[in-house]
Amino acid sequence: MVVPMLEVVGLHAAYGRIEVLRGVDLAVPKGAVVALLGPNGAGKSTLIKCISGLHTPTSGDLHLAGVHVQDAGADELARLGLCTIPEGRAVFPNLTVEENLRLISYAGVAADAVIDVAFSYFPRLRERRSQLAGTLSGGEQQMLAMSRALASDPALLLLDELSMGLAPLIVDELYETVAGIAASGVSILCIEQFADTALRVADYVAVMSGGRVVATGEPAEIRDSMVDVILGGAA
Amino acid sequence: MRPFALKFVLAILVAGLAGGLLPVPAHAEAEPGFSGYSAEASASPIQLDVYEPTIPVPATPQLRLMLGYATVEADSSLSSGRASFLWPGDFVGEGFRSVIDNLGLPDELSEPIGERGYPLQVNSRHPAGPQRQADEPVPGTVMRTSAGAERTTARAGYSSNCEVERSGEDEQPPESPSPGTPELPSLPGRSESSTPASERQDSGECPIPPQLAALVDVGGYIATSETALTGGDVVTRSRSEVSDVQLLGGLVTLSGVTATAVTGSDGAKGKASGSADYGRLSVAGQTFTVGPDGLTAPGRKVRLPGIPDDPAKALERLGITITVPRPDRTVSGDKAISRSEGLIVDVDTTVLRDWLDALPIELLAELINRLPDEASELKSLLGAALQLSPRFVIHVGTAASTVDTVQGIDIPLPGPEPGVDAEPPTGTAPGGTPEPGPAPETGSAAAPASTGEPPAPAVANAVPERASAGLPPLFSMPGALLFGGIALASLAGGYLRKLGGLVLGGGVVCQHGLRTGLPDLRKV
Repeated sequence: MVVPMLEVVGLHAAYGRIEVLRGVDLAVPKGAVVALLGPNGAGKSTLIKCISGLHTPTSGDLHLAGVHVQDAGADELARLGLCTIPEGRAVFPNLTVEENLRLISYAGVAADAVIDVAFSYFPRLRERRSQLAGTLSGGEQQMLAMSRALASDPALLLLDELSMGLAPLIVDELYETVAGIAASGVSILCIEQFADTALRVADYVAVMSGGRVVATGEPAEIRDSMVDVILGGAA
Repeated sequence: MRPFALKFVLAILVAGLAGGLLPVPAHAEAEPGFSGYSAEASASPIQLDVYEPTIPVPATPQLRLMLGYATVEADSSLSSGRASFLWPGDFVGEGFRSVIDNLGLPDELSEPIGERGYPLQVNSRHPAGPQRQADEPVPGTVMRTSAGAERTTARAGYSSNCEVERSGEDEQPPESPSPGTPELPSLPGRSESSTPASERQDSGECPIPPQLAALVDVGGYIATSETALTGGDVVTRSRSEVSDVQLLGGLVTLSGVTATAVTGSDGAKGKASGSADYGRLSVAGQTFTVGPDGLTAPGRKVRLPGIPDDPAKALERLGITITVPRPDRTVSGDKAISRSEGLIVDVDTTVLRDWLDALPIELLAELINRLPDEASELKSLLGAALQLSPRFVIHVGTAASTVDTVQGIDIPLPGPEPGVDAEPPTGTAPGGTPEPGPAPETGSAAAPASTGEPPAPAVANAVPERASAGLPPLFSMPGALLFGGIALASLAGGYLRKLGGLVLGGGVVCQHGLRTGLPDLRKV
């Protein structure tokens, strides 16, 4: 039996009295790209926070590589190879691109290696290496955020709203990179609200609504059956 | 007396004594080849089903009316029969009291009506009784039923010349002359009739009620059902016969339909037979012959404009579908089922609704609207009735019978007592002469008792036979204890492990059986 890289079983989570996740079941196979789709407020970002250790679920189980994980901190999970690219990129705007990359070396990877990996995936960052990150375009900031994540040698990558605020051409370019990362054996869970591009690179798709995963399948199945619900005509 | 005569008389005496003393086999009464049986038969010449969901009756179809209904049920111990010349279906017929109670009538009126049950029926039961019941509510109608240990019959029908009584294959002879209608021959059980003779004489020929005749009118009909236990066989018969059927005010006419269903069983093999004979069918003057292959049109009296030649299509244009059902003859071992049905006429009035709309219904609606507002419920009901478009399904000539038998169960008799078995079956007289003892039941114990030797093999064989009928072998108990103990220990161990994990591991036990920890994802 192939053990999935990530398995979420019956996960519940709440903010105070408001229950956001109501029994989420999800699996990310090793080396696969899973697109998690759903409308705004479905609980996608909360699920990412629970997986990455930023939010404590109220009940349910979280399995990483066939091991039950409970009460693990975000830093512990990051050191084990679980890396999250949060919504909004979260780069240091007053630091240059190269300084942003060197900061990631605290994870134990040499700074030169980090820079080499970043520039190999995104050659455009080499041109902007001395530019303040706050002055980069949205797509370039996303590239920088992804570069920081890749520099930590992730085994499981969580992407939260990669395409938010970006032009379609940039989104296509970013997802080509995502596909390349997945080809290297990294398992990827990417969350999207408008996800036509994500469906092109995803191996599997899960649809969340109302705090639950309401549909899973391959992209073609989901595209046919839930195009109106998920894509909302915006794709 | 001469010696020859003496010898002759002695020979006669000896023969007489021998005949009286020797066991002579009695006359072999035909014993049935079964221990029990169950049989059912029912017949209904005309069955009208009305499907109209707006009728507030919790049954499907919402209304049922059977012109002639005879049913019998019998088994090895009980039997019952019912006959009715106008049966409103089991929902109303059986639950007549509930139907009356729900009509909202005053108690003074509903109580006496409901207590009597549905009036147009006769019932018989055996052994509870009544063994026989008969009634003729109106002249020309006959309802008879009788129940007995070996024969149960039910017969109902209507005929202007009382053909009902003569239709039986083995009807009992009349007991007394009938004082009823002159055309009627004497009917058995006439004294049980509930209708006074004077009324029958005055009423004359009894037609089908005019309200019903607009939909179904028949010249006569007969329904008979019978179960009989004769000659080691159980036989069940049912027969429906109807003649001169007129449907929808003569739009559809049938000259006659006869359906029979016969089943029998001797305990080893069942038999099923029957037949359905058809007459001629006429629809709006167009005459067809109905047979097992469907409808054929031998001639055309009146050609209706706009009606296609195909008879089936012609009927469909009128909303009428006529089906010739296939007879069911099923024999499964000793069980037999037979069902014959003449015709099924399906009248969908939604098709005819367009024609009815041509009638001055609006005048009726106006009259209904003039009713006082106090009768608003009645107004709404009448208004809805104008818009009804029910579906009528008319089954013409239905006969069904079923018979089944069961064999007895061989119950093993208990063996002899252990103390008795241990002793030799033969004893020795004080004088040393062996006395004949009772013959053992086991085969090897059939040693000749006159030999005087103790039949040791009989004792040896009797012990294991008795032991096999007792408790299960003892060796199975230790095994059951061993494996049961292992299962219990495993269960307890699992719970103890979980308990230990909760106490020592801070409650981090995974309910899916996975180990708890922090894996290095890069090394997976």
